[in-house]
Amino acid sequence: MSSQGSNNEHEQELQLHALRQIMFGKNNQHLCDALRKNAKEIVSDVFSEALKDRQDKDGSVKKVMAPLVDKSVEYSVTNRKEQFVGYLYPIVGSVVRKSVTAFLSEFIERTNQLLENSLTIKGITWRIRARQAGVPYANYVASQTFNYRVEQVFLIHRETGLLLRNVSYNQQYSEDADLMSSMLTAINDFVSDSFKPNIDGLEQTLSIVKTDDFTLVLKAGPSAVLVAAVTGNMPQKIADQLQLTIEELHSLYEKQLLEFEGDAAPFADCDQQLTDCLVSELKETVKQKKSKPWMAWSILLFITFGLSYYAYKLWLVQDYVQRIQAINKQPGVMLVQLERNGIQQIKLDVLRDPSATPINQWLSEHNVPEKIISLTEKSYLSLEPQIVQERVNAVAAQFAGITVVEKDESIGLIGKLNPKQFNELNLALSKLPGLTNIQNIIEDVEIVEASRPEQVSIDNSAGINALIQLKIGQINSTAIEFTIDSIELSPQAQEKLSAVTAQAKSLLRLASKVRLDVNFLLMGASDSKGSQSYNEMLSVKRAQAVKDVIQNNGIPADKLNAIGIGVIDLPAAGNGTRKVLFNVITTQASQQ
Amino acid sequence: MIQKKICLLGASGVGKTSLIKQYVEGIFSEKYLTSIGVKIDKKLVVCEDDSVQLMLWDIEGIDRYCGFQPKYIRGASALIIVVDHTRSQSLVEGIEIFRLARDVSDIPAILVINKSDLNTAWHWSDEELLDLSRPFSHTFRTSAKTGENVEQLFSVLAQHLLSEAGR
Repeated sequence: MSSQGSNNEHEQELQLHALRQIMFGKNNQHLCDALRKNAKEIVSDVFSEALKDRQDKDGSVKKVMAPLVDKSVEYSVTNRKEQFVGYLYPIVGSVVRKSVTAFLSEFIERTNQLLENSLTIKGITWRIRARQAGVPYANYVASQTFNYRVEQVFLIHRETGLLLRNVSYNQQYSEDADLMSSMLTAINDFVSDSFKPNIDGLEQTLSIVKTDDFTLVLKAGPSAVLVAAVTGNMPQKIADQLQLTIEELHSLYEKQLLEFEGDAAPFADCDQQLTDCLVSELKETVKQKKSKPWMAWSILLFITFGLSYYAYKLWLVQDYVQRIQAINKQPGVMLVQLERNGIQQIKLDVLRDPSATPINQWLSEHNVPEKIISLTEKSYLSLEPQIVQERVNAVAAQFAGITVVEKDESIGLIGKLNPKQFNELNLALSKLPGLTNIQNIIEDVEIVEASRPEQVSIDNSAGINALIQLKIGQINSTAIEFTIDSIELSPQAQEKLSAVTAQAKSLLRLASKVRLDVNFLLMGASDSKGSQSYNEMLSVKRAQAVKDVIQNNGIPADKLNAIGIGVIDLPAAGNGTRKVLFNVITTQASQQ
Repeated sequence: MIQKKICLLGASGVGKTSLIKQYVEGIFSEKYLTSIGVKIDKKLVVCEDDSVQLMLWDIEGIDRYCGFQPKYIRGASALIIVVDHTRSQSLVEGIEIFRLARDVSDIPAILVINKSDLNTAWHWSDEELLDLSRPFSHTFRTSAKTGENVEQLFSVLAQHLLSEAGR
């Protein structure tokens, strides 16, 4: 029964095989042919999805594709170089630009920092202090600039104490990082060996080590220890960050840590995590420095203020100089030199007549502070009318009996004086420089006899005689000049004659007081041009002309003798010889 | 490059520190200073096509007053037990230290009989010595003073470590 059944099955199988061969062809030939016709469409419909699924499943697509892509790129670079350069050019250009920009900005920043640290007072002070403290300058700057800074981070294999990886701000720290790792591990071993296990039965481990410069923070995981060297005041957040980092590293490198046999290469990729731990915080003062440069502003303000003050002072002094110029118009004062001396001082050199207003008084009247003036004053005698007048005023003030009055364009004295006082006045006035018309000034002064004439005459006679001599001298020195071949009197000559007449009158008055006879000899002369007889006649006419004028002015004719003395033969004298000279002849009158 | 931790153990005064000083710095000093705790040095040994950095843990001399501290040899790749052939006791102590270390770790160990520049002054025969040195991977007779065998000791060790690491 059973053998029959099996025969049937075998037969069915054969029939089915025959049917398959008819339908699909030998070796599925028909089926393959049919599929091949549409193979492209069928594969392209699912190609991308299939690649993705396979890649997700075992990652084998990447492995297969990578060599293909490598070869394709290599082929392109070798055979189609220009096209390839064309593709890369924009990317490379921008990358290079970016890199150069980054380099430049870093360079400028570093230079600026270097300048700030080297050339400022702060930088120099820091250098000195760093030297005193015996620490490297960079460390000192960090300690002054940062609240805290993580200088270096070590990842240490816990069991062997070998260094897996380290990163630091400063390359100099990195040299002996492996030794430090081992020593830290040894110290940790010592600690756990020396102290009893904690209440949980776990070994005692170091978590913080403090030195003068550093705080070492240790965070231990099951297989590795993360250590950070921190300068400054370490905040708790660093410990927290280290904890997170060591946990992350354990989860990322669990297998590598367990299988560690001294080769640290697999840990090269954990630099990013370690670098994230190199955190720092700037001090407040440093943070604010850039936003509010108070120092710079105050210096600028100080300079501006200083310059304004200097300009103001300069302007003030210049103004004073302008004002002082006016001193030159002051009678009896002559400005020699006036200039600014520095910004505070004015140098003033003047000549001043003693009768003129004192310089200090003038300055205070014109609101110029004396302390800024460096004054050099020399005396001189001024002939300016105002000053001469001042002198007359001063003399007049010494005599009680007279007062000063305005007279024509000049001044005159009026009043009564006894002869002694009159003499004194006359003497005082004659000593005054620049005073030519004394007679005009004193002609209105009346001489009154003192109550005791005897005594007065005795007292006065000497004074009057002296005065007479003075007058005689003045009259004798007078000469009236003429032009060639002329007897005409010029206005100047007229003026001189008026003065001489006044003097002569005065002399006659004085002479009568001491009983003296006075005669005036008028001597006409001419130059040597022309004939002698003509010249003699001309000289007489000139003397006569002068005599006429004086006589008309009120001098008695019997006191006047006009004579011609002819030619005065002095060729060198030129015009000087055409003149009339005066000579006073005195004789003591008889006592009657 | 790989790094390896190596521990030097032995009784006081056998010359562990001097050996390292001779090896690392090429200096020998007659002055004797007791090591306290651990001192660590490093030396890069370059072999044919690879290199190994030895982190040499010079552990303080171990005697009856100062016990063996197993924590220090944790993670070490090899031990160097140093003895002094002028003092019999140093070998006894060295063997004892080796035994204690074996309790916590089965890393390879090298026996170093130091002070070979001095005359032997212990009562061990060569046979006895051979017997005692059997558990050790290698035995060297060295002199930290003359430098005899010092370089060789460490280069053999380095090669051993590299071959062990499959390099």
